[in-house]
Amino acid sequence: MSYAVLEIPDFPLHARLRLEPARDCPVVIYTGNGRRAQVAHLDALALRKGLRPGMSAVQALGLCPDLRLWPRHEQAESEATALLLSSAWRIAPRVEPTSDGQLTVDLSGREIAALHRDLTEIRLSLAAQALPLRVGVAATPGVARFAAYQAAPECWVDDSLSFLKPLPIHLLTLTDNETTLFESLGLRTLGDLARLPQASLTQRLGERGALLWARATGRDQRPLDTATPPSRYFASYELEHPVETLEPLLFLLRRFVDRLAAEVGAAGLATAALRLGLRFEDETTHERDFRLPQASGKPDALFRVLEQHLATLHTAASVNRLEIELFPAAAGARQDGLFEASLRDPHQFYDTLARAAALLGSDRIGTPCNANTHRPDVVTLGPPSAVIPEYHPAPNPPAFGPLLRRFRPPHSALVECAEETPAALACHSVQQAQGRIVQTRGPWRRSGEWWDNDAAWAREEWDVELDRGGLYRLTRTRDGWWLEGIYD
Amino acid sequence: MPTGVAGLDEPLSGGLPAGAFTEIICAGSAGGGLVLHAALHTTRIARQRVGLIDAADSFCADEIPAGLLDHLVWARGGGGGSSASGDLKNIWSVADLLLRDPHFALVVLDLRGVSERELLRTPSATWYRLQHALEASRVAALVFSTTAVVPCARHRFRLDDTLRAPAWTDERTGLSAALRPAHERQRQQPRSLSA
Repeated sequence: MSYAVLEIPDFPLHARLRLEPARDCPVVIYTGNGRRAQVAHLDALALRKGLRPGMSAVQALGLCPDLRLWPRHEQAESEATALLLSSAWRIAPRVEPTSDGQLTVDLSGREIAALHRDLTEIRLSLAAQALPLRVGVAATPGVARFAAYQAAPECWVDDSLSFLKPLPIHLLTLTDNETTLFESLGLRTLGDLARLPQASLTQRLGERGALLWARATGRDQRPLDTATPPSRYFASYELEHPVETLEPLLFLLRRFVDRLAAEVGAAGLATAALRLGLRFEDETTHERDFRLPQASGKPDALFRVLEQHLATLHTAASVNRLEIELFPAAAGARQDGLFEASLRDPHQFYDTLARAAALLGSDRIGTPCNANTHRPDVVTLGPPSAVIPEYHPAPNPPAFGPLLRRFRPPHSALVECAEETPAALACHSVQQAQGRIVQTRGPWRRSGEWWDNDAAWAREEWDVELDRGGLYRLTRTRDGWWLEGIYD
Repeated sequence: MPTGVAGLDEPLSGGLPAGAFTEIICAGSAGGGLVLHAALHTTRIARQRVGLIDAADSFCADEIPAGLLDHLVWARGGGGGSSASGDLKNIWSVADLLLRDPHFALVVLDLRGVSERELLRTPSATWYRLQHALEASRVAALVFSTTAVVPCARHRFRLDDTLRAPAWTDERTGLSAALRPAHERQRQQPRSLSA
């Protein structure tokens, strides 16, 4: 067995339903225009209502007034084909798009047991994307195609001749003349045709006769016209009805992210960055680039980034087109050190931080880094590192005294001095910070940036203890006294 | 998870329990900052990640030696009209996010500086929800407050306002070691249903 055919029945219908699910509503895909429009593909609900392929659109609407009549949707079909291709590349590199919703895969070198598992996985993952898959596996592409047609949902053919024997002859897609001829000869199955001598059939029908005989006997070998994996991971979609709310937009984005992540994964890569583009009804656009903390192949992680961004996005008009592009990078392969304190799931961690930043402000969460200045309380917050480095204490003298808890901003204070030393404190904002000062330490005079008139600063700091308890830091600037914090 | 303060670690049988709240009540110059400094030091050496939710934005990072805060994620409240004025909603939301994230070994929720009236008005259900999040992630949670506010705290300690002027010249590690918090509450670990 060296070929598999993956087929999505009623492909135009399922490709459209994948992106626009119809809830409890019969759906039909029609072909032709105007009065010539006729039913080509229909869902189970439409079948139950008595609709059949070949009916005119007018007839169908007469039978079922709540019917949704859709034309074929090129973008939806190319999306579904791309998803099917990326799934097929997971099992083998040589894949031929044989027809709409049908691929032929060269399985040379594949082990049967692993193939069974892979095909089941693909079938389940496509089913989750609302694409039912039929799989036929056989020795030749032609027999595999018949097997896929018969599959429910998989059909593995060991003996091609005995499999083909009972199949109806119309599966060979005959012309009208051929159908008439075979009916007159009493040929109804492929087995009937295979019993005829090849030479006489060729003599009667020429090259076409030889081809039909080869198909009926399972000997139709042909080279595959294989597809090339994409070099760009891009999806776009024009919305028939502009979207006003988040849910339908997220639904579509999830579908695209799943497909694109599968393509990136099939190429052995992971996504390092992504770009989202939206176009609105008022012709304005919104574009945003996202860089991931670590290249990832997980669609969940990629989707979370988009979801989080869109949850905070407010637009003036509804969305009528969306675009998404993934930028791949080599998947990070790294062995964690035995004592290394790295992140187990960087996406979860940075997702937590992003959500917290959305609540507090992006400049109000992070790892503190002291700025290169002597000015007190100048701290910036940077992104936390993925790996906590080993601690090497600086060769400074040990820290003395309790820790200061700052009042931000500092409270204005009334300070009574005796012999240039604070003797009493009153601060209306802090109830406890009132009373006689029993101990002082200071003054510590600090200043900086004197070369810049606007940024220059100078201050005098005092540590004080109040008679009722409490250690505080007082600061005197040119504007007066300030209660800067409490030692704790 | 050890805090590095003997007066806490001994009654806690080695350190802060994972998946539970430990509350420390400390008002004024009681030594809460010393406990925080000791916990930051211990976790830094062990290379464990710490989240500090600083409701009143009072943490003084420039008082801590360089390199000792590489493991800290400091969430500053009190900015942009959030919790300093009493609106604690964002603080609870951030606490919920951080407590759910198992990348943190310790999450410190510093509620000092927030009005007691606002804190006491917080529904108990908020704390029990946070407790539920904690149980799943197994993060150790330490709450600093000026009055008892955590109804589901497994341990509650009280630090009295005892620091005096001579403390300015003592080594910080020595001051931490001298702290003797009063152990006011110890709840048994709730039994799991499957046990």
